[in-house]
Amino acid sequence: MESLHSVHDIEAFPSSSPRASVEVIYTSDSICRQSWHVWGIILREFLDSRELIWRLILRDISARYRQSVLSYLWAIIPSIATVAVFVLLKTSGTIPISETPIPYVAYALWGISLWQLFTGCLASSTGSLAAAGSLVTKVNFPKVALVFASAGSPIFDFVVRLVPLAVIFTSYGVPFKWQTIFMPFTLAPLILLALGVGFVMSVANLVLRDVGNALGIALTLGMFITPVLYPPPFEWPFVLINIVNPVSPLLIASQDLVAYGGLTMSAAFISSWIFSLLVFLAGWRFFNLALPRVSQFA
Amino acid sequence: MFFAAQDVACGIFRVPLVTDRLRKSEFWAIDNVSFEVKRGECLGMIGSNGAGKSTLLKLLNGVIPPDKGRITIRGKVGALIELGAGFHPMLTGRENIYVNGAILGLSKKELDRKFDEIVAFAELDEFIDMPVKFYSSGMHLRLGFAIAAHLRPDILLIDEVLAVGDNSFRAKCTRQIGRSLAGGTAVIFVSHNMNEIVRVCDKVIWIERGRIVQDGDASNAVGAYLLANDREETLRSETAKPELIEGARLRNVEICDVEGNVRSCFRTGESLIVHFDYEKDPEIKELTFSFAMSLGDEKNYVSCHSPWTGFVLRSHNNFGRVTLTIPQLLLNTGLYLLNVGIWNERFKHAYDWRWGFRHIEIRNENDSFTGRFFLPHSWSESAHGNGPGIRPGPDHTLPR
Repeated sequence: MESLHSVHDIEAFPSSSPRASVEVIYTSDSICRQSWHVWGIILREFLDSRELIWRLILRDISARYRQSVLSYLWAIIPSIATVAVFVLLKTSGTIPISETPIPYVAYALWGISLWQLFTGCLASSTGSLAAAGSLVTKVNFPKVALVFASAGSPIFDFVVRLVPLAVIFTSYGVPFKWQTIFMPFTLAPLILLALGVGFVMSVANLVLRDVGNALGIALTLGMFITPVLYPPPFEWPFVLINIVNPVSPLLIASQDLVAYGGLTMSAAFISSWIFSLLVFLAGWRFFNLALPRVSQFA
Repeated sequence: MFFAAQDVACGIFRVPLVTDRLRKSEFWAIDNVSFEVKRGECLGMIGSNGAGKSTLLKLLNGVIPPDKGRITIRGKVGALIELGAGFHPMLTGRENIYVNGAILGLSKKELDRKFDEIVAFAELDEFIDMPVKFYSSGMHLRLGFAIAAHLRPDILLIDEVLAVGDNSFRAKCTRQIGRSLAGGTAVIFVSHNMNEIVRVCDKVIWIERGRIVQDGDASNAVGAYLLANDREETLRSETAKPELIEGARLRNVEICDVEGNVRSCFRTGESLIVHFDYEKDPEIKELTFSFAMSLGDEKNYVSCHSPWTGFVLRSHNNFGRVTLTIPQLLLNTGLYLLNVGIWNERFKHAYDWRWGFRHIEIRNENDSFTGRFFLPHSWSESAHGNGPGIRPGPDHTLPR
């Protein structure tokens, strides 16, 4: 009769000596316990590693800005360049883009910043394990910390981009809506969705580096089927873009907050929110299950 | 890759994973290895490269789950396996202390408290503020060890990392390990430096190809390992032959003990008798002989050339026997290659020369002796000390 142990069984023993109060047993059984029990362990692991996550974020950001003089600018220039190109295409009539609620430049820049928040988190988390190298195969620490910490840089870049955004918004006279303080609520699902997919991608990328490459291409294409540089379409069949693509409602919500101070597609937004949360939790659970088995193949 | 996907799928769909059978092209990296280490004990692990020692440490560290069997760990584990884990090359040593410390599980508060001690232990002086990408591997070791040493784990796993350190730092590390042992830490120590192993460890397991070859007392296991290693190297070594000229040949060489029994295994200190059966052409009037013993490293550790003792064979017979007697084989345990030769009277040209034509094993029953040679010597108490009025000798301060 096989006893059911998860891969890491952590039981605390009160001990007579001040040391050695924790006993850990490693066995080959990897049948998972009841879902709720495992979540207790997963959350505890996350709480224990919050300092590590913060430390890794600090490390990545300070190292990045130490390596190049223009790092601050590299965070902004690509998006400004893309927007400039599209403004040109729009005003010259080469690409017909319907009217946006706020001036196109502001709309496009805001859309691209949001999109880059999403893709940045997704790309960083996908590559986070592979980038850590021998840390994954040789050191025992909660590897989720690597994935969570990888979101730090894209979020920081997003905040950095708020500066030129604010400049553009004020110079184009976009009125400031007080509802924008709810922005974190519309940004959070983007990050959760990115991390959720990232959890799965990071493990896959560890074994097959093609995954990371393929993702880059997919995201570039994805930008065109998401209302980033154009307002949400309302004709069939293009209206599907707003619904089938899970990122769209989240993006639209953030754009609406800035433009109208309210949501135009609340139902889609809420279901996307729930979807993102589920993807996040499922991805996290997958990561927790899969990594111990896969790290030896890395 | 396919197996990885398979394992993961089994986990997701709650299919029990069958782990005790090998799939195609898999092999057991560790096979049936069991041991126990208690608080305050030091277990050494030796074996050739690729034997499975690092894999075993990864299992103990909790990085890889076992496919069969059970590992029970009581206490916090600290590993000196990947020194400088998490280091970012662009950050300075100081900043990386926080990163590495966080990965090893030290909280910021603890690190702040121990920061100065860590920097002092590493002895990197001004280099601590230099980006880590400029560090040599020895400096990495210093910083990494300094951080890991302040973990105060209950179990310490050390994987061959000390090899890059300079002598003084290695001595420091060994002292630190000794202090941890005294404080009740259990240590598992992997090394290729046999002296270190014998000095630091109580028990040793010798692993080859994932299996335990021998476990037990440190010097026994190390001795057996060295013997086997000598054998491998020794039997594979070759060396350049000298130019041979015609005139004489060795018909047979016999290795015996003092009673005349042909043997190939001797104890340190026993007598060795070597009989050379030779044949020569009538024109050759004088012969000299050589006998040497070497190890796999091709150095002659023992040389007996007959001219040194004044022995030159002058015989009218075309064949005969010459005997070499070594009264005491004062060599330590090892597998020695025997090399013999017949030379002309000036010992300039060789008529016949065999390298490694046979090997003998020498076993030393005295465990505590670690040198290669036993030189006869004596100890006594001296009449004069370093008292007043006597000029002190050269400045030899004894190491503490």
